[in-house]
Amino acid sequence: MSRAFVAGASEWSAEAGPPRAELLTRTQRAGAEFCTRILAHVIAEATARALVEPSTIPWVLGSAVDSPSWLTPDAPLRRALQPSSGVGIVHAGPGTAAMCLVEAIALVDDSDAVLVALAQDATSPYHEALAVAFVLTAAPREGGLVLETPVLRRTRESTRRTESEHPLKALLDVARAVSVGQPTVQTVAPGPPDRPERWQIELGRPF
Amino acid sequence: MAGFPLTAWAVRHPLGDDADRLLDALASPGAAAAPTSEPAAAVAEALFEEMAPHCARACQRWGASRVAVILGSAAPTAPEPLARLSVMLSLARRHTGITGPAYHVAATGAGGAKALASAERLLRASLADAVVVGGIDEGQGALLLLESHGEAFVRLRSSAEATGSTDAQRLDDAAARRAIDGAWTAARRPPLGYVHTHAAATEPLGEAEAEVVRALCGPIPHRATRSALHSVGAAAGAIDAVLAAACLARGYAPGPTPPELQHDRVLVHAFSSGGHHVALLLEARP
Repeated sequence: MSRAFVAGASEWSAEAGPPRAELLTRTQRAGAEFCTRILAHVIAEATARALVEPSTIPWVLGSAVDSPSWLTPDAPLRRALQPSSGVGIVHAGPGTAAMCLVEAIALVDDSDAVLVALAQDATSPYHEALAVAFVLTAAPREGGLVLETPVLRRTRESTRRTESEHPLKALLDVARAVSVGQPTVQTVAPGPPDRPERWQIELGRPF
Repeated sequence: MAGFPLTAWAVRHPLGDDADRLLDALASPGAAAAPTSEPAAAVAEALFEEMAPHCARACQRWGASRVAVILGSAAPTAPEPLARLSVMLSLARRHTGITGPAYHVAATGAGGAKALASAERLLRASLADAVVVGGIDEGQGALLLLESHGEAFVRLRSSAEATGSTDAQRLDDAAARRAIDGAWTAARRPPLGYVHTHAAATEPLGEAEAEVVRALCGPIPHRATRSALHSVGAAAGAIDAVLAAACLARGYAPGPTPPELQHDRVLVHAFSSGGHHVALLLEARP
């Protein structure tokens, strides 16, 4: 399997307004960090759109810049949702977004569905909080788009992202493309942004 | 033969820098590893250097972009985890020439085993043809090379994962059972030589883990090596896998008065305070 079908997607950025985070209880929400709330927001939306129960499917989580507390074992989201099928926390620096997809696509064969979720608080050097979640499946769903396994490609200077660009921006654009049913190709740097290679993330129509 | 050949491995530990020395030390009653402060980056440098010729051969055989690196990590509990992780991935690329997917999977004390499970899935899904996989901490670590095809005495036959309670005082029996049963069932439940457990019977949670193994697999030997080796971090799962593979080659379980293996298969189980449970089934060539 070198591809997976997108059964649901969600993204959160500041323009979306306050995160609802309804997966958390009111008490948990009140005490949760902002990053946890935006993550809960996108996980709830993506899994609802895919009609799956988040506790029953494997999770692949990522954060490109820091190691936030929402990844720790006693984080409120873990306690609230109690995932049972494995939680993978992926780190690959700027390439984390692409590597989360690689890990998730490899998992899809073993499960009905896989949740991929990434969140980043507004911390230096990226002063913008973002979160994105996808539910990937091995079987196609009506109208669903296909996510190819990221591949490393040399890219032209003009198509490269700048150093200041948020590492989750590429996946945010993919999630937005899913919501309007529009194929897209996005790239993320595997390491230092001055390198000519980029992980290419391609969202297409099934054939 | 199903599974993926384990074509090379390297281990670094204060008790010995190869698996046989570690097994010899474990066989001596009273052997105890003195904790060392050798930085993880130095351990990684030594391990990648030892693995470099094998990686070069894999890159030549499969193409550098078809060879991946997956390292287990103890993040987010390790101090300054991301800085350390970035160093590890840079070292891996510099020493091996690998240009395929490269990432860390964090699972505290089960990180090394979880990396092996990820590697097995990557190969099964044909997303890579070879994976350098392992875990590295201060003073100790191990790397293994798994390939999609090839000649090797030991193969990684199957893997499974589960997530359970994060209560450090209690083993989540159900999660342990799902992981162990998942890996064993994926291999069609063949007879096992021994189970390489996470905790020794004398440790907290050790008896609970042994009970799960007995209930599922019956009265087969089980051995744990982590406490004797002071392995607690991401390296532990990878070292467990190397020792299990070396035991298959020797035909004996690890530890003092080791029983002779009746069957050429070892099931490795690892768990962490983060609620991660990983099981790996290793099999020797008949």
